[in-house]
Amino acid sequence: MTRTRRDLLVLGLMLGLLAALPFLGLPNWVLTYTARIMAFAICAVALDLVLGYGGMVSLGHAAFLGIGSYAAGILLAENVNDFFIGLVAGAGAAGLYALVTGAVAVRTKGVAFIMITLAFGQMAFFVANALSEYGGSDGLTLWSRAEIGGTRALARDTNLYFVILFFLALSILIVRLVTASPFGIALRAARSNPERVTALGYDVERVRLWAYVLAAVLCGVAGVLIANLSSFVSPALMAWQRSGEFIIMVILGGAGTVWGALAGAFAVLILEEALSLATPHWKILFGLFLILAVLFTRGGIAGLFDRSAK
Amino acid sequence: MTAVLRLEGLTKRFGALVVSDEVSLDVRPGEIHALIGPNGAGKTTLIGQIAGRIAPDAGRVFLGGEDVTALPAATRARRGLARTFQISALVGDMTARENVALAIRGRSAGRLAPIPLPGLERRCRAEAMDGLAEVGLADRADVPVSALSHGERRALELAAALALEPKLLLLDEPLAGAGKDESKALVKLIGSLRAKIPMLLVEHDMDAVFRLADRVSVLVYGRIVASGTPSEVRADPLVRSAYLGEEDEAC
Amino acid sequence: MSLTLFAVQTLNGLQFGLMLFLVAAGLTLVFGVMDFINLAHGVQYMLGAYLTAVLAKVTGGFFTALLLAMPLTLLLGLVLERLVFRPLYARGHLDQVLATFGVILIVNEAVKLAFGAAPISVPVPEILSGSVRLMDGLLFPVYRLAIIGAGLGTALLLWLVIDGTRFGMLVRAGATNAPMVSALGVDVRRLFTAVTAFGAMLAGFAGAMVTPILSVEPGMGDGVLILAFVVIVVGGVGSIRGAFIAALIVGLVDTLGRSFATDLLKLVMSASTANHVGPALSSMAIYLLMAGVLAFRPAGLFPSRSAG
Repeated sequence: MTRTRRDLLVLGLMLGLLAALPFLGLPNWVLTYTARIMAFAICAVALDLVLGYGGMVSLGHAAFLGIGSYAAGILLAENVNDFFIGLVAGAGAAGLYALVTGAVAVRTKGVAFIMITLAFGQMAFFVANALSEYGGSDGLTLWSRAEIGGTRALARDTNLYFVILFFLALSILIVRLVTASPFGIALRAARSNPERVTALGYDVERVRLWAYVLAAVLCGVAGVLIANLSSFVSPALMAWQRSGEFIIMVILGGAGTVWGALAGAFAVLILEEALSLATPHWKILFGLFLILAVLFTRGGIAGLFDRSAK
Repeated sequence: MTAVLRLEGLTKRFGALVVSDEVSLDVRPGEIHALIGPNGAGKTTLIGQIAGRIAPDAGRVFLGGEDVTALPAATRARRGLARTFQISALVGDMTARENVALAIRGRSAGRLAPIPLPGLERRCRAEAMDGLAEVGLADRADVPVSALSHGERRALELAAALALEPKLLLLDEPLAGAGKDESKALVKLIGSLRAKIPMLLVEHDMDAVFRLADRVSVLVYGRIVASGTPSEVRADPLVRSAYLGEEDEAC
Repeated sequence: MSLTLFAVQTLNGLQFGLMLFLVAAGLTLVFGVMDFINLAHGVQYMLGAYLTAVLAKVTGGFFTALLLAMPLTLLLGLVLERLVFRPLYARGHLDQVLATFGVILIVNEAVKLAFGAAPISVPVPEILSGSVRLMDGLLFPVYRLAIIGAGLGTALLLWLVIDGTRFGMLVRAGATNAPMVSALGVDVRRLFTAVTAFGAMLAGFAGAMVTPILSVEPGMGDGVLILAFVVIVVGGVGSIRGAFIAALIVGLVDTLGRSFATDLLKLVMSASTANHVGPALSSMAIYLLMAGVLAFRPAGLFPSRSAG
């Protein structure tokens, strides 16, 4: 009980801080940069449902982000400017892709699941590369952001910032509700003992599939937001390394906690930024950090942090 | 009287090896039917086919008169087939009560509701406590499974299986790994459930089998070689040579 | 779509498939025997290519470079196994993913640091240069034929080792039932080390062989790694035979798909639509193939484990 309360307190503080940020008179780039991190944090929160609670190591989640972005970007390129249409299209396309590919993936386990999610992620990446009409491998530049109710309200960075913050908070709320629900309890139980959970009358594959789809829908929403924020979509958004990055965010923040994924997203992206300021070859340092953290902390990076999940 | 569980000619081959050879048997209301057999007789494969984890090559499984051969394991569980596992299978990072509650939710329509249902949770909590009390674990309700003793885990498995309100209980070596005192307590517990629910008991401990079972079937090389009351089976010369001979000291 | 083009592309697909097999062979054993997910296997392919390219420049001879590069890739495989992989065998898949992902980041960047980000090209060795006339109007580069020969030869050698030696017997047994092998009193750790290093050398060999026909650049192993994953999943985790057949299928489907998808689509739709849909569809082909196989056989074409 106290633990949950403490988690909620930390979460409230973080969201409160993010809400106050635009009023601190900081330069504009801080705002857009933070908004970008928040959009990625939505993906981390979503992946936490699959990875942290469901125990499924998905290496293809960047694809859902990318599909959401491309859905929004293509609609804007075709002069369908309404934000909500883009949102529904992005979330729907990502969810549909997850439903089809997930139906194949959840039937496998262990290393096969990891490889299959990675492969389907790569498929989306290559398709985006082949979309010559929409920029191909160069990506697609969007000339304006989406409109809300026919107004150009999102053109103002602050407004878009709050929209992204709203969806971040909403995602956290959804994941929290779902994990506390009968569905979520079954998902968590199936992580440690799928046999038992099946013997109790649950269709474990179906539970996993719906968790996978829900996470993809949230990633799709994040993709729509990113497309509007950066006015640019490209295949690079769904490079498989980004899927790896999402996993690092979830694990670094502490899988299966309320605020962990959010903190993890900020920690990873800020660490990357800081390292890249120090040296252009920062990836060596980051990779070294990863390996050392996994090898020399009991139970991996996650063991560094006090967490409820295993 | 319809049998609660009936197997008709179940056959399973792995390559050239016939692991289940036209196995037919039934479990009637109010009885404990024990299935014994030496290692490698195909007991685990047979249980897999009954529970729905392994698809038979031929033959059918009836649960309460209904043909469930084509149904997956989870559906069979909801239709009333509960089981325990050879190696204790519980959700290790949950408490005893949460494990039983999981079973209670499993048979409710809201088992996959994506938002918390306070009414269902209240019911689960209360019923889980009743279920735990029945197997003598009432005071261990909030202890995580990882902190329970082996015997307690066995009892908890029974409680979780019973919480499904099943038609039949499939017990896969419930005494495996239990100490002498633990075994005694578990035998007593299983015996006390006899009136409540029919069981198919797979067990190595002959002492327990002959004390608990109303009927015994003997499986050797995938085939039922003898079936009858404990005394009939004990007297069967075929069984004595094929199987019980090795267990003389135990008898 | 002419018959000669079809024949050329079939040979190209075969060559591509054989290279994929060399990368996938070691990896599928690592997965099967150790249940260890090694994302860094593509790095071995890249290192094989770089070592050969750089040594070819220094020594001036492709074959000298190849001969020197092979023991070096074996050594690198051993070093990685001892330093990073070994402590991970007992860990969960998640830790394995994270640490081997870290290895990819480091090696890709280190290669960039050492040799620059620009692609390096390696000339085709003198005696294998030029083309040979296979039939009327069908010219095919000798070097690609050599790759096909080398790939088939290695596959045959591998088959002999896996099928006919004690080492191979242990590996096969390990892929089906690792605890049983250790119960037989075999030092499983040494078996693991041997399989990993051996697999690293095979991947390095594939990387070395393609240097004259592909550009050698940082990150070149990543794409191959993912294709090798598709091969392994389709073939069945842990199965060498499955990897061989799946690699050829994937190589052929991918190569033929890329050259003929658009033309085939023109038969059923307008030319301009086909021009847009063709490339997208052909880049999806092998993944659709994977999905199709898994939908009917979740454990792949040749499942090596009896359980699950």
